[in-house]
Amino acid sequence: MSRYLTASKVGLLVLVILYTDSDVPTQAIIPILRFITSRVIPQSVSDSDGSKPISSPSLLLSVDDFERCLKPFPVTAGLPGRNLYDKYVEKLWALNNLHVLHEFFRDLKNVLVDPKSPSPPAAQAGSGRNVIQLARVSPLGVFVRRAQLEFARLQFDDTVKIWEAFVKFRAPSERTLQRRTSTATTLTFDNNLSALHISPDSALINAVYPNFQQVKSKPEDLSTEEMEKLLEFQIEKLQRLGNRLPDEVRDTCKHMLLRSAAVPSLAHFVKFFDAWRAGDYTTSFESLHRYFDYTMHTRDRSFYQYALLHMAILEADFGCFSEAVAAINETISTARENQDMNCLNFSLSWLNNLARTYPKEVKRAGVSIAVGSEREGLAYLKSKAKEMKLPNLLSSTLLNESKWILSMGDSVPQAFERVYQAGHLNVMHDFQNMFGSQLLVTGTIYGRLGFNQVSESYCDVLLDCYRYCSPVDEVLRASCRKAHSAVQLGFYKRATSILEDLQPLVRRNLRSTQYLMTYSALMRLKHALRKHDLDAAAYLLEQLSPTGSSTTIDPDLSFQVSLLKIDYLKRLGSFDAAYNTIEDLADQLKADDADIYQRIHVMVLKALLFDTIGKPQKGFSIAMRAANAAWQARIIPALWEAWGAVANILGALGEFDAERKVLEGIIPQALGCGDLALCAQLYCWQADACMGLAGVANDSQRVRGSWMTKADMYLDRAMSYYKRIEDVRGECDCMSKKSTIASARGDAGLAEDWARRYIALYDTHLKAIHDSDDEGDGE
Amino acid sequence: MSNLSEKQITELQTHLEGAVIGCAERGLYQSSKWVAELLNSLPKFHEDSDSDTDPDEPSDAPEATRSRPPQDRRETLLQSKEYHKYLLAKSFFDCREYDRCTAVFLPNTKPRVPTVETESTPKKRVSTKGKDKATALPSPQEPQIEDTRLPKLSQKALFFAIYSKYLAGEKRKDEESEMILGPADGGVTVNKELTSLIALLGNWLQERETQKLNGGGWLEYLYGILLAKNKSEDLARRWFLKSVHIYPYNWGVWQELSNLVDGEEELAAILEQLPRNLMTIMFIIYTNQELGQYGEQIHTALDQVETYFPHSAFLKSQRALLFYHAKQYEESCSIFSSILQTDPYRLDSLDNYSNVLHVSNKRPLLAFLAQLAAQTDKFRPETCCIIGNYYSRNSEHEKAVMYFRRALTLDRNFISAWTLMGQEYVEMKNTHAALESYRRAIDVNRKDYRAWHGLGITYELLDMYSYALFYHQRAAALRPFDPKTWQGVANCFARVGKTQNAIRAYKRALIAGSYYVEGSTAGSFGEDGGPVLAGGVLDPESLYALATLYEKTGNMRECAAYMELVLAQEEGPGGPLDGDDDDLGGLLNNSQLNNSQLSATAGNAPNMSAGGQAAGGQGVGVTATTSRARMWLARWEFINQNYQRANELANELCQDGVEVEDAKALIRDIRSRVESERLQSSERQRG
Repeated sequence: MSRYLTASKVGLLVLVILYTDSDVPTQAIIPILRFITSRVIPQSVSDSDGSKPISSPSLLLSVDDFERCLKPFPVTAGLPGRNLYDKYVEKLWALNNLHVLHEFFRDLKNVLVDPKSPSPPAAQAGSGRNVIQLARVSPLGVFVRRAQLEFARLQFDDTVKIWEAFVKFRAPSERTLQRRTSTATTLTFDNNLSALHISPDSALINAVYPNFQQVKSKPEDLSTEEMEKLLEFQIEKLQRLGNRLPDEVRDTCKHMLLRSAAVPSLAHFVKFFDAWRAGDYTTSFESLHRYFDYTMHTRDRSFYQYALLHMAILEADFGCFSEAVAAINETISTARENQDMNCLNFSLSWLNNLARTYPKEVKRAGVSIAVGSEREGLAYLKSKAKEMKLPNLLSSTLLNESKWILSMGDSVPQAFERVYQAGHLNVMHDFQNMFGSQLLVTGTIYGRLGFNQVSESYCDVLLDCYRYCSPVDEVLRASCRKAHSAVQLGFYKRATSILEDLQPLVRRNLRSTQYLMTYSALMRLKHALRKHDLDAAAYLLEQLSPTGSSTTIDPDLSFQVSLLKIDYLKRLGSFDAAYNTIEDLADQLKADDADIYQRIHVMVLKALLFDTIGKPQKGFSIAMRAANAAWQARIIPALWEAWGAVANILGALGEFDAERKVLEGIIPQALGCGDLALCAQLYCWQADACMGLAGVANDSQRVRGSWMTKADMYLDRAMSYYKRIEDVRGECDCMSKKSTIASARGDAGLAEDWARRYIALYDTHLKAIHDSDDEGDGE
Repeated sequence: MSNLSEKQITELQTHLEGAVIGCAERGLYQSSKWVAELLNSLPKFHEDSDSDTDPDEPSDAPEATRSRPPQDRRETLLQSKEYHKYLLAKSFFDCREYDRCTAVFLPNTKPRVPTVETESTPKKRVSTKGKDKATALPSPQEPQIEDTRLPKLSQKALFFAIYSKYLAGEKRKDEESEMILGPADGGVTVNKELTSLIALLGNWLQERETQKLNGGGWLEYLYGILLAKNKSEDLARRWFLKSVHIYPYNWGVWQELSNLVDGEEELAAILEQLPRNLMTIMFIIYTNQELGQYGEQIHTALDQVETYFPHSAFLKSQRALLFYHAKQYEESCSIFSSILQTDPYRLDSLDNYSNVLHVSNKRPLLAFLAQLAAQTDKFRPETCCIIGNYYSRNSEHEKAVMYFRRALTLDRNFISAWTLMGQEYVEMKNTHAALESYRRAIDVNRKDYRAWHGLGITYELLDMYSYALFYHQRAAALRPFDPKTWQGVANCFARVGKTQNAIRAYKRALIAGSYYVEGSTAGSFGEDGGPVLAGGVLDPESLYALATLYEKTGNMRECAAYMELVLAQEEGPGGPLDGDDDDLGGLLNNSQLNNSQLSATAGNAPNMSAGGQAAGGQGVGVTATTSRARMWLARWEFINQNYQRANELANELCQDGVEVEDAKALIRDIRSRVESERLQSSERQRG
């Protein structure tokens, strides 16, 4: 594998010469220059920054590519019926032995402007032909100079290799040449052979071109430079999108690398990423070390901290937090020593992130980040980013800060402000890969404000417009959020299909796969619980509950699991266990400085648990506190939950009117939150309130009747919601209540009817479980 | 004796087979290869007769004839005894573990305890050992104290042991020499084993000799090598001769012997002591070729041997080299290319081919050859030389030097690489390195005239003419018919102020130049052919230099004559050369030539102009030198008041566009002079 030159590059050089000889007709100049430059000018990373699906020209050119480019154009002068390709082929075959190739490269400097006497080319055009001279710094000039330099650096046997590759490269055009010139025989690829009068089957040919016959079909080797370009592209994709190499790409790469003795060290880096994503800890670790060992000699020692940084990330990904923290601390100190602010800032921000995501583990590892210090950390990063003019870091810090504000329950406008600042930066600097996280944060804010629809549409924007340039992780989260809201609305099928559509995306990526699997299990668990399929739920819970290390599951998900576990326990009727779980969860959240939303949710759950066990008054203060906190943090869905709980307690205290008023106030807004379970619950409570009012209004039959009608109506609504989310238990409750109302109204037939439907439903879904329960505690 | 009978051929084959096996058994791989090649280049008619017999069928008759030459019983017995040890040693040798190989047969060749007498200890020790062995072999019954350590050895084992020790020393020497042209390279490092080995083997051989026994040719050969390495060349030569007499089929001996031949006289002296057989003829051919001789008799000898070995690539390459020395590059090229086609993987003499191509400036073919060599084996000194030659031809001197250095790293005794590297250094103006490279080339082989010549040129570059003179003279002695060397000699003489010597040397150069030209056009040469300077163009530079030298000595007539000669070269021998016969004849007669060939040349010289006119060769055209000569002549005629001629010459100068200003000034002068003379004459008439 040569460093830079390949046969196709020689082909391009011949094309350059064709161009500088003014053999190119005017209308062909632009296509030809485009053809050359698209292969010659290195595409910078920012250029190919995913702005469009990469349709970059293939690195390997064959003569056919040249033919496609040149065939449509006629030659400027000379024989009619000839096209430019014929001319090109002629030039190609004019390089008819190794010595001519040497001379070709030596004479390349003639097409460049002489730096000593930059006289206009007109002076040299003695032959009357207009020779184009290339400026030394023009793209073509740089290409020509580079090629010349690289050729001068080659050892003799490497030039022989290039020559052989070139012979192979142009071999397909032999027929064109033969058609045009009758003199061409089979051995024109090296005129020395004809000069020595060698027969085509002589042993000498085998000696000089030993692998000429056998490798005719094999594609040309890439040069190291091209290989590196390819690997850089892969790394860039891997790093930005966080996915793995497709199988065929990996196989092709492996083939290419196998054929070359010198494996570029970047290949190890690609392997590291790939193995990392695949969850192959040992291989990725090995590859990372190998990569840095091989690159150490080419660059300075400042690379050390990057090695450490990657190692820290790797360790953290595999849950070895103490090692990760040690590595990142080392990184920070080394970066400080080397004054590498880039690395320092990045590692600090990463540590910050880590501490927030896994507070417990990091604390255990010996790093404690108090609330104040996190704020300080963010402020520090922000000021550093501004100072160092790192808009990238600034943008991500702002988003982080926004998230932090949300989780602390601080003012929502401030969070919005940060998001918009980050958005401004992203648009200004065109950080396409940052759009995803920005949209996600915005969606989160709207979700917390109760605008479920808006939140979902942000997810849609991410998925529809920025999918190609966003990391896999963000796409995954956005999709999961969509699935979640579908579940909340009772569209289980849709949720399942959304999650299933993600399968190809996360394929062979361990962490994403785990996340996705956990999430879909969560959805199924929720469904199972609602359908009152407690066996399945128990099974799923067992699968989900973090038995080993909790770190394999995202903290958000583990919270959800806990919630569903509480739900399960409640449905099972083991309230003690449910209570204990809630208490544990609350303690844990408090210790972790967790998101305020989660803490409110737990408080509401506790209040509702008291309600379930028939002591709603006990939950009053906690519900009030939850409502207060939710209001302060403007977490609207939680607010409605909390108020619902409060209203229920009011009802339990006999304040039916107050309950009704509260519920009347919140139900319309809760309907917009997109949580049908909550709505059904609220309607149920509303019906209770109406029944209570009916009970209180014992003076007038009419008033009581009207309250009962209202209660019936509300029950109908609740029931329809329960039906949609397939919550069997809720449906049963509603039916029993309806039956009660009917009997209270004196419509025995209707009551009977509802009772029968209740029993039917109960028999199909609930009986088995309750039977088994009966054996236990004899309900 | 144009063809050998079948019986003779079979006998020859038997000998050659034995030689191949014998060489291979003793680790002399190159010789073995050479003989094997020769063996396979015999005509194949006997195979046809054998073809109808079943190869599986045991045939006794050929076995009997092909069996090894009879050895004495003791040797055979010893060999069969130590057969297993031999196998062990051979495998060590093949793995290049030379010291270990020696230790199989000769444990503890070094003193175990260092004593005060550092000088004499090893010698003493060795000599006792040698004595031990010498006595141990023929008379084992004699009681010896140290006998226990020295097992009885067959000659083969002894050869093997000493040879591998020698190679170990060479290897160490090379390693200590470090990089090419580095501080440790050169004469600093020596093979430390040599003295002890020489003593050891010398004693052994002496002992044998007293018993009228010998070392089977092999041990003599080895002793010769050791002596030659130790710079005792006369002794070495004697031992080589002995070896050749005992066993003539070891090509290595012949090669070593040829390396020790410094000139024709020496060769003639040696020839008398040689046995008369096929190998001797080979030797004569090879040595003459190495000495740069290319006379008719060598060609005939070559023809003769080639009838026996019609397919021998070696002989073909020798012929090609003869043509190369005779500067008949076309013939040389065609022979080499035929070798190339019959045996494309043979790299052995391809570096010489590349020299030929380099000289005849066939760059595409040179590139092709380099490609072939690089494909066959990148790391052979021959390959590196070819590639270096290619880069040299392309004026990429740095790369050329790199490849020559590589060749030398692979084999420090590769002479042509040293010389070629010297040339490259001269091109790169690195005179220091050039001198050293040339010096090394000469150290390896004193017959390399190119190195001598190169040294001369380098000293000329450094303006050290008396040094340069010495080296040019050496080169001229090696190549009496090379005009370049004589030019060098003449130039140096002129610079150091020995004008007469310089004049003589220039004349030699002219004669040599014309001799070569003749050779290349007529195709045959020799005493009987009668060298005629037909079609040859004399070198105008030399002529001009000669003329200026005469001018310096005040011999203006001669000077003018030579200036005319310079002018005459513009049009070549076909042009008008009126009245130049005398000059050239004088030239040739004046030259005091010792060489008989050259006196023959001088005798035939008057024929030159006539033949020249007949041949009608091409001249050199107008060059700077001829223009200078013309200018000089014009001035000369002007001084001699031959205004008409002066005017003509000056006008010619104007036409040629050289030194126009001077020529015009001269024309004006002539005009005014003519005018004034006419005035004077008219006044005189009037008066």
